[in-house]
Amino acid sequence: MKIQILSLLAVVALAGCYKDKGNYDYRPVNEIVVENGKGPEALSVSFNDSLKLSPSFTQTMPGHDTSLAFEWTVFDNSPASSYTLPRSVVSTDRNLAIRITSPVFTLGQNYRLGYKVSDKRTGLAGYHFYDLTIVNKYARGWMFMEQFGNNGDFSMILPDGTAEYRVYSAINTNYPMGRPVKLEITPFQVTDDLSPSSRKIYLLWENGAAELDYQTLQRKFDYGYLFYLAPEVVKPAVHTWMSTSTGATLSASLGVAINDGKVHANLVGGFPGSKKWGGVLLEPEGTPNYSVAPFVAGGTTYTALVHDNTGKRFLSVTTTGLLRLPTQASTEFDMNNTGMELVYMDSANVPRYHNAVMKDAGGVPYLLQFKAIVATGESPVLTLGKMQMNAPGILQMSAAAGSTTTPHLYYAAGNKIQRFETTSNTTAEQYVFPQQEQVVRMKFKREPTGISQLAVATWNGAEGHVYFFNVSNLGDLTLTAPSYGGFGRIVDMGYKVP
Amino acid sequence: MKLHHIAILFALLGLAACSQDERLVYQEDPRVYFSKFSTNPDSTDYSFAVKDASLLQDTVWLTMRVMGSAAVKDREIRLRVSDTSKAREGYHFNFGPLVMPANAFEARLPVILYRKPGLRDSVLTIDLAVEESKDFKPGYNDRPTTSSPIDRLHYKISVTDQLLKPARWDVSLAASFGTYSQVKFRFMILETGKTNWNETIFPGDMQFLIQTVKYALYKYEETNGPLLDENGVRVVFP
Repeated sequence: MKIQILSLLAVVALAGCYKDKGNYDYRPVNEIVVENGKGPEALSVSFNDSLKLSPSFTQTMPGHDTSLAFEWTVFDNSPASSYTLPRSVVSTDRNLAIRITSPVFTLGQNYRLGYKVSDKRTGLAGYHFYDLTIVNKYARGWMFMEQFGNNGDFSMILPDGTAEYRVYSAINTNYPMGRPVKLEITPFQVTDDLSPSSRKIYLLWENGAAELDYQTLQRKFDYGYLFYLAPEVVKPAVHTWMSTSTGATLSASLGVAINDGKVHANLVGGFPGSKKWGGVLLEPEGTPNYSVAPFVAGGTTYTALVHDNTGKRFLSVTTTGLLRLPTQASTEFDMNNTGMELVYMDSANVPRYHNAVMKDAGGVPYLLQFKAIVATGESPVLTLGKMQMNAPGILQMSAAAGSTTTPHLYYAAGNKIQRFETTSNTTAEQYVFPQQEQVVRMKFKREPTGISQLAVATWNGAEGHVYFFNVSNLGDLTLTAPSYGGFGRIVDMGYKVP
Repeated sequence: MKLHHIAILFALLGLAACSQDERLVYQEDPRVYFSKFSTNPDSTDYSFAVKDASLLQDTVWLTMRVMGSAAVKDREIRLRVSDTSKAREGYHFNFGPLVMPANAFEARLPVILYRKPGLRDSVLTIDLAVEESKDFKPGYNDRPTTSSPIDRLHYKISVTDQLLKPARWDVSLAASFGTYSQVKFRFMILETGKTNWNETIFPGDMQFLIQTVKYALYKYEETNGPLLDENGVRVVFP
């Protein structure tokens, strides 16, 4: 017996020395790939709307659909959210069909939605992800800032053609807006670390301003909070962001605010620390004795250019001061001494080129054309041209909008829309409204792959109207139906995208 | 040896393999060291000159971290004042409670500085070293770098009542504020309220500081004329 037990132990011990011959009889398994393995897709979904998704997937061994399991999970992926927020399973169906509502979803938040298709026989799964932004019905559409007596509001015209009136006061019941001045909507996201990255909406009024949450349109920050030190005099005219980006995706380079005629800057970038609007920038002589017109021209070589109507010159905006332009930048006219007052400035039909309508001491209108970009190896000259404008009534204009597709500047005096052509120095009447309807605001909306639009706001003394014109590739205007009434006196407008 | 003894021995050896591994955690003696980061460097330069004249004492904080786990009780930290120190404990400075609180991995320890007349014409140093206490051994002694020449077991406090040129003026601040002078520096402190110019200043904050002193100088000159420094040179910011 002893020998037998010892032999058994020896055999067991020696079994450890057995060389594994391996098992090379691999069996193929069903591999699943969803949506060709693409990266996360970004989707904007309206709160209380339904979301239906039917992703496609492939299997290396199809024909066993009963063995597949599906799972849709979602978690809050907003930049400021906690990492410990719960992950919710919102469906176990092949295709997703859910309603975007609470408790899982909150308006304005970002979510990562995951789709998992697994083969129950092996446990192997394929995945696909979506980045959801929960927006409201005001995610896209025209915004119209209006004056009602001494108060302001804004209304919207949504992509489906419906008009939503007095949206601001409906959402921000406890924060009445003063007499409105300007609506600012950035065309790109801004990362200022005051709040998660997003496009920006600022509402400026006579003696105050506010930043709205871009998604919810709720008032987020008051004017003073946006500054390191709130300005002593609050009289905002411009609050915008410039971009020197040259690629398809723009990013903010410099914030430029004009308040009480003075310039303030905001430096953003991928550095830590706060990013707020700074103090009054001094002009090149080291004084704040200037008053800039409420327009900013952007470029790449020169991030932002403004015109001092006191010193009658253009100035380059930096984060620490306003600078003169190099002498060699001027040939057609002197950028450092225009000798005139800026009346209106807008983008031209070449990127980074600008048209400035000026008025000399004798009340004669001039057009100054310049650029804010100097390509490597190119002449440093910025000035492009100067001409006395053949544009009847332009100095009495009540609204203007520069075309970025054709060499035209649309302006309105009274009830007429005129089109000034910068190449021929000629003006042609484009449209005449009824006598009592005065044009109060115009905005050009460029559509690179479609038909560009000119939105026109009028005021008849009691009610504001909005009209949309299609702009042909020759710059001709065609009125499109319908028009919209029921607005207050529109002071500014812009187009909001998600 | 009986056969069943051999069998039991094999069984025990086999079972020994079934024991759970110990968790891989710090098992050494509790230790403590000075925490060092760009915003919390290895030394502090303190000047009473940038403070109000009525301020007779102030506190500098030392940040210390433990190696190992937090404890359920307060633990004593000991710091030794090295012989190289020029400041005298009990006269120029005193320590506050040197304690790592219960359940804490990090603590800020107070060093109270006294404004003594002698500081007006001298800079005194307090050279500190981590000593073994009943609760902690000295932590680790890393290799000093150019930006942090003092290791994590030592800390240096310089104290004076003179307005000292910030150590980083020439390498960092001069580009924004120009040539150093005491009058200029005092003006900058007065107008911005910022007293520590040796710490890292983030770009956004730096722009605001530049804007602030430029505007303040304009306002000063508007009322008083040019501001001249101790050398008779007009104060300007580039």
